[in-house]
Amino acid sequence: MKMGISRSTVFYVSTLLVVTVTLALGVFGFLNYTEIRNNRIDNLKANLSIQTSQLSIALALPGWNLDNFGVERIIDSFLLDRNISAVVADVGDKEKSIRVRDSNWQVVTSKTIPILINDFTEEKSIIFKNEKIGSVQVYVTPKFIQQELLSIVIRIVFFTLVLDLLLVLLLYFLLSRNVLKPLTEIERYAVAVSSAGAVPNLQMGGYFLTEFRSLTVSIENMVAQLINAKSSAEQTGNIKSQFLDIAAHELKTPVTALTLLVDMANIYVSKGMPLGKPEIERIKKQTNRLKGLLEDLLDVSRMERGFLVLRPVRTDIAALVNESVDDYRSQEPARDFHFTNPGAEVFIDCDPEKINQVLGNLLNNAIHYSPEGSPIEVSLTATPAVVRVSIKDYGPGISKALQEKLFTRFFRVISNESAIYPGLGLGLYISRTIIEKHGGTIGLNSEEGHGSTFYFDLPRAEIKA
Amino acid sequence: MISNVSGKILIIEDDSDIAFVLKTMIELDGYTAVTAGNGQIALDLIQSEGPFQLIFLDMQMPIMNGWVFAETFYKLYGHTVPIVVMTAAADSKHRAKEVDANDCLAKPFEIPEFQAMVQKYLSVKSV
Repeated sequence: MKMGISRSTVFYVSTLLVVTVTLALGVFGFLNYTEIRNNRIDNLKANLSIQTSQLSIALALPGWNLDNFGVERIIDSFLLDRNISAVVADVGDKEKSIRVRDSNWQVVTSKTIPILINDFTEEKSIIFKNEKIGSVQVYVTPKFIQQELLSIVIRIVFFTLVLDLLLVLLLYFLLSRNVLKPLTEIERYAVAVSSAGAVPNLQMGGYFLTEFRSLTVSIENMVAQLINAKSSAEQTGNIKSQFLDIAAHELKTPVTALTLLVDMANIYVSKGMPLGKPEIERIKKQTNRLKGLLEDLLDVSRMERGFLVLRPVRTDIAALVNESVDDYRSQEPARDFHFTNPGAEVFIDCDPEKINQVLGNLLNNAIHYSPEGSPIEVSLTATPAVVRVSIKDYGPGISKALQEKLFTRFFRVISNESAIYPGLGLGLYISRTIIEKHGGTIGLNSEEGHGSTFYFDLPRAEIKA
Repeated sequence: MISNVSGKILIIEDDSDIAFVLKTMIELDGYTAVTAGNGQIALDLIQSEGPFQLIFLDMQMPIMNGWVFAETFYKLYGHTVPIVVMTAAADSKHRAKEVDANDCLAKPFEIPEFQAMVQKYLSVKSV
């Protein structure tokens, strides 16, 4: 597998770093070199001036005495300084003394005045007893200064190159070991996580251990969180697909009944048999049931998207509950419905259709989860701030463990309870959402074997003065 | 249509409308039908009104569901009466195998399918 950072990249980076540093040092060195060279040349010129003066003074006496030997000895003593390339002395009326250097830099006598283009020169009069008796001209060469500086430059460049090479190797080694290796390890880890989904451990080494350790911890935490998020998304997906199974299953019952009822009506018509009101009522009932299931599905869909809209109006909750109970009383004549009314109007601001839906859900549950003929007790109590509607049944009651899950979405799926009474298991979730949207709370008191009391509390309307 | 065939069919179904249509159709075809809203009522009916020649069985019912009924029925009577499962499950044949039933009707089904199933089991008996 091709890794993101290769060894050649590390080498390239190391070299680039070293070359950059070397170039910067080079510019600095060049500026320094120019300054040093100028200083040396200036010194050379200053010395030239001093030496010419000294020579003119030293040559005064032997020049007056016409001591040729003395003049040459003095000139030669000055020529011991190898920077002096030539001396031309013109004393008295005799021939000029011209001392120059040969190719081996040995002092020799010349007949002609040398032409030294690169050299500096100065001339001074030779004065004895306030009388000018001749002149002396001294030449100095910058050759040795240049040679010396050149050798220094060569030495520095050589050492710099050796040092550069060492630095490149050292950087390469350090980067490979402490950056490339951990990064390669992180990449290997990422590949392992994305391909296998399994979580191997990150193996970190190197000198930057502490820096990479915190990175390792962050990466491992991130991976753990991603894995959690993924599994919870999968879980939600599972719950939803199971819910879809249940929904399809539940929709099949009214659809089957309607298919059969319509087929039957068809057969009645073709046989010339009369189709009675009870048959039409059955069709109506199944259609309503189908409508109810679809409405529940749409409600949940709206709630999931946060699109549940309330149309609140000031409502007498006592009258609302009374109407709802009356409806169920006529639908279920075998049942005994008790309604304990406060005997006065109790106003709340609510969407009466939605509260009716909650009452319907709770009353339906009470009917379906309690023995036939057992009474259902509805009561309405009010404090100055809150009104409570309670619905008590004499069914088997609900265990504490189930009570916690009862109001959750897709409870039937989550609880894994096989459905005894058909339905989507959405009623209580829808009811809770509606009541909470009204700023109220919903709950239950139940004990196994002693029936259940479901209740909801809603805030009372503020009484306008 | 085969006439004068004595066939007594038990319909175990908790939806009263489905049970009503099936019973009506059976009776239109000249057979007798008894309905039960759950497995428990069905077991009582078999005792009081049996024997039956064919059983139609819904699976999800309150009090006693189809699985428990089939198990109890086979324990008490063996495979003496064919059972046709009526199920809204995604895989109805698997459901039928699960309870060792003879056949299955996948909900939603139509009256002709149901009538064919009645003919299949009762005409074999009448031959």
